[in-house]
Amino acid sequence: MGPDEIIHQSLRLRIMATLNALKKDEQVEFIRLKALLKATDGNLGAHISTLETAGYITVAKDFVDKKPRTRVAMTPAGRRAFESHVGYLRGLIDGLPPEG
Amino acid sequence: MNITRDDAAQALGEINAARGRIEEITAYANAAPYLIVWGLVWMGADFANQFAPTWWAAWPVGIALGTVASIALGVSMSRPKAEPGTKSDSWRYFATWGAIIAFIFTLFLVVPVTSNKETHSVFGLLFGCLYVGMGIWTGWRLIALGVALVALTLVGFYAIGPWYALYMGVVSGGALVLGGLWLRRV
Repeated sequence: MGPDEIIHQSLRLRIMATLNALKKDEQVEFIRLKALLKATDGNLGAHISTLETAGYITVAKDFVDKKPRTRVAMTPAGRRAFESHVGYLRGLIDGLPPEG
Repeated sequence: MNITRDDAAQALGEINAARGRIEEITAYANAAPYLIVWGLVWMGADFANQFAPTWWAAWPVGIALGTVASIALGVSMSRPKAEPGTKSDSWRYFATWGAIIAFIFTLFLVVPVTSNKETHSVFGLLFGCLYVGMGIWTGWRLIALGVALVALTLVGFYAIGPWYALYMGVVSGGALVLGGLWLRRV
């Protein structure tokens, strides 16, 4: 397996690492993710959209007390892709030849 | 796409940092309601000690209520996150709380305390040190809270006279409640 070009971009990598640390099906609010990653609305939104298009994350939007709320969660495909990418990175550091 | 070993090391560093951050925030979020509960218990029991000093049951009742509330919190917080096929660790939290409470009571069996002030101070110092210990594993905010609790307890023990119980209720109980609210906002 080679590197995952979608995941490897710095902010997307940190988004995926954060979501991967959550339990299965656990969601994180956009506003909290923004604070955790010290990202701007526009930048984070664009990268979330890229990950959603790839099928790596899901985005749920609703209203709480008439205020919009956006929550993000990792899909099983996203978790597999992330773990595969991390395995590739570790292989590089350990000097292992890429598989496949 | 060409990734060098340096790129890979940097990427793994970013992953570890992001994971550490979410684990720290999760630990704060989990600790916050317990701090608020025990802060309220502390305030209530110490207010009772100050204004109804002959009512001996204030702390036992407070500890019983706090324990029940902690168990309820543990159940409600672990239930929605439990994954199918995985074992719940809830009993470990209950057992840990049980061990702490048992330690306090057995401590008083072997270490003579001659006043309510000494008993109060043992609670303050013990819980302050526990928060420092938890903070070493999770993040600096719990360490700060624990150090503040120990310092406030020592100030109260040496500098506050007949209003000690009220002081501990307001300052130490209040510190836990405010600390819990602070951690919730992180």
